Amino acid sequence: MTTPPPPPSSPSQPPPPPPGAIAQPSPSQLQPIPADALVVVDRVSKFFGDIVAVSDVTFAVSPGVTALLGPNGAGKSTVLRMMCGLALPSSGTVSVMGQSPRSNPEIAAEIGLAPQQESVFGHLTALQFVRASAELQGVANADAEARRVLQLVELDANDQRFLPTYSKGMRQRVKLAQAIVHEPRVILLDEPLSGLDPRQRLHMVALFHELGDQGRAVIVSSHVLEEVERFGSNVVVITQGRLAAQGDFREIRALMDNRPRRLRISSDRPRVLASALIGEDNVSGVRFSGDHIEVDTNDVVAFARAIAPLSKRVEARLFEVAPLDEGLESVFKYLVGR
Amino acid sequence: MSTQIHDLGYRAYAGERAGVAWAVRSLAVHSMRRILGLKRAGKHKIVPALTIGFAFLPAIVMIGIAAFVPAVNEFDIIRLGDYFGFISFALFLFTAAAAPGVLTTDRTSGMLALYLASPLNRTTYVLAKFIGIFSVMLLVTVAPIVFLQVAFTLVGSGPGGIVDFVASIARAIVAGGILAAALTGLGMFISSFPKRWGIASVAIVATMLIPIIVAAILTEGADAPDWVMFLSPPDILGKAWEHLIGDPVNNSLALDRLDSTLVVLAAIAYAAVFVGLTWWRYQHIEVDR
Amino acid sequence: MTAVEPRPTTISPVASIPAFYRVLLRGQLTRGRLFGLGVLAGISILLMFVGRGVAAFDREQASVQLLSDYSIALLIPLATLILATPMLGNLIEDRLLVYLWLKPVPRWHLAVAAYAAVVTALLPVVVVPIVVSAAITGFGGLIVPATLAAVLGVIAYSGLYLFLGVRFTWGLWLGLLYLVLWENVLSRFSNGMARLSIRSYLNTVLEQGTDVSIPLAERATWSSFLIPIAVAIVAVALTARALARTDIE
Repeated sequence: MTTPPPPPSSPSQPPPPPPGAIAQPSPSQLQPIPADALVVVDRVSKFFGDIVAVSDVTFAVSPGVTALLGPNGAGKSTVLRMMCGLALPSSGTVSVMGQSPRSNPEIAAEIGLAPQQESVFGHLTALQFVRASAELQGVANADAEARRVLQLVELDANDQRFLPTYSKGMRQRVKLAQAIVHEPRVILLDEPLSGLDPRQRLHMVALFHELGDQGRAVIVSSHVLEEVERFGSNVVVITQGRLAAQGDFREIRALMDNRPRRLRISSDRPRVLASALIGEDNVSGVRFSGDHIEVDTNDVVAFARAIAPLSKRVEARLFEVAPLDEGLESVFKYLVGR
Repeated sequence: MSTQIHDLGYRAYAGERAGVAWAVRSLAVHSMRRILGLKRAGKHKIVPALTIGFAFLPAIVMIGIAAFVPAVNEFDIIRLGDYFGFISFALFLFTAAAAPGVLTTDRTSGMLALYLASPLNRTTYVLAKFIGIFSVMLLVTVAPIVFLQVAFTLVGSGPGGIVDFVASIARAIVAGGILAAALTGLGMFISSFPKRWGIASVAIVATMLIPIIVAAILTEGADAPDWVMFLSPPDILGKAWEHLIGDPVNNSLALDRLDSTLVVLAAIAYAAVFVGLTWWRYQHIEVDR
Repeated sequence: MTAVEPRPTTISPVASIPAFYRVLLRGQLTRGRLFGLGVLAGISILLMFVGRGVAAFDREQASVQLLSDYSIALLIPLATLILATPMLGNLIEDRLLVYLWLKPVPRWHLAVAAYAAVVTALLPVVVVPIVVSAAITGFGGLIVPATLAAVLGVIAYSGLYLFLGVRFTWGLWLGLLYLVLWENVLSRFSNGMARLSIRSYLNTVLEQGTDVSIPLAERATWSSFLIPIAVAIVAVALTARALARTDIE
């Protein structure tokens, strides 16, 4: 998923944002849709009475794994439901492979959803549940396909226990199985790793990537950052019902130029080095953390060029220069906290 | 004044603890609020408002007649003894709304497990729920008659003398209290089985209506002996209420021919049995969350 | 995973309705409900044995009155209420409807399957006991009108209560209010109100078929057959519409 360039300005349009600034999505600046986009959400809002659950959200999802990220109550599940057609947008449009999922039930053949809720059919076994889903999707050899996907998610198709007796993790895997049994092009997963043990999580994440590599759009909603980092780097960040950012989270971090970068430096002469760093123009703060120095810099490129000669000048050896806030957590905290 | 930095971190509660009685009181008050829809959205107040309003409606009509058309004897319009018959559907519906609403939701939401993890045990939980539901039931079984007697007295149509007035109020309280206890026990016992409040409501209404119809068919249509009416709790409760109010209706039906003392004792027995069954049921209910 | 295989984007009703039907029917026939329905049905048969004990010149009147007062007034609507309202209503409440809704089928397939599940579950529980009850009375002329009234009652109430369960959170309570207040109290006050009571059409079928006069049976013969069926058709259509328009959790 790429971040398209801003459109050229005209007298009737507001001027484009300065280079490096984070683009503010607005109805007047419709981004060009990627040619391979399978899901397009265009200026979608959703109101529940006076409550605005989703406000003017626009993004497109191409094949691969995309994480829908946001804190609890941000509107992620509402956006997911609108993408499946389960909820009608109050304004704006959602299209899946060019069709509205709400008004064209046929497109459900290309959508697979593993919802967040834990409730399951009390009178069905795992095989019966997944097989029924396959039958209703028109899958030929529904029984064989159901057994195959259950094996894929490491469940026993011959287990005669009813679903309510299953653990949370087993239910999650059953939900995933029914979501993929008909091999949809668009797979939406709401908190899919909840309840899974670490080994199962690794297995599922690998499965998501495999599905994405097959040309499917796998959209995973989560508020657990450690999970999201495993899915890859494509994120759509929603906070308070609004789209906060979209794209590769590392590139998002690069755009956050109003927020100093923090680096950890290990040296044999930390205090001498710290004294020298304070005098640098691109350093906005220095603190000690144990034996290390943490440096805040407004221009990481200039700092990177300057740190080696500076160390040599004060005769300090550098053991490590590592970024401390390049991760998703830092991006998330910044976007959510604005 | 000395300079201090205060520790604002976590502290355990070291104050007085009110004990099980307060827990019972709290749960009972919470149940009452829930039944009446208090502190909830407006739609939750509709059913209780309608049923309570319906229970007061005959009283308001009678008082209106007494106040504005004194020449007409209000008891020619609606006899006190007929009151139960007029509002019986409202009573059944109110029971079907009240008991499931505070019992089934505890089991489906997992709150029952939390309550039993508190100082409450199964017995005190049932006690708290009974007090809550019973208190609200009094609004439809006692309050309309007390309102009627007080209003009649104010417009000059009520009992003559303070002794008669107090006696009429006491009869209303006793009669309505037994009725409320029995309906509460029955509603709670039936609600202790299904997990869906809607199914519990249907079961309660069915348990009220079916015995009435079956008993009537057996005694009026098939010449069954009069004692068969004792097998119909709603009929016995209504007739006991009439006797205790002091204005039994006599339409020469099987129910009207039963001995009044036995009817009242049967009503009290029904109340005790239903409450006892509820207690027994909750000793064995499986708490699965 | 295997490569994507071509498949039809719309599933025919011949395939989808039975699949929905199996999932729905299995979920509703719980032990508690079967027990309750069994008790309701058993009472109707028991009462008919009582009817046989009535003196000969009263027997036909008593039997028809019994069928009207219990089987038609209580057994059919209560049994239908217990099965029809939760058929889709429980799935909505438990947030399970999504698994049936997000399928490449028109919504009416699901509505029809749910209706079929209700009706076929009620046939052995309601219609058979009523037929048996009518047979017990010893009057052969009662069996056909009783069967017709039972079938029409199941058809009409099933549609109505299925729709209430989908459209309203309090659908079961609305059905209860309709049964207790409208059909058993208010419809006795005027002919106009009785027109909106399904029970009046069923009583008419019973009265017309037996020549025994019973209350709430003033409908025209043609309407007593047509209206219950029309109620079912409209209700199922409204159910499909509600499924198509409502937001699904």
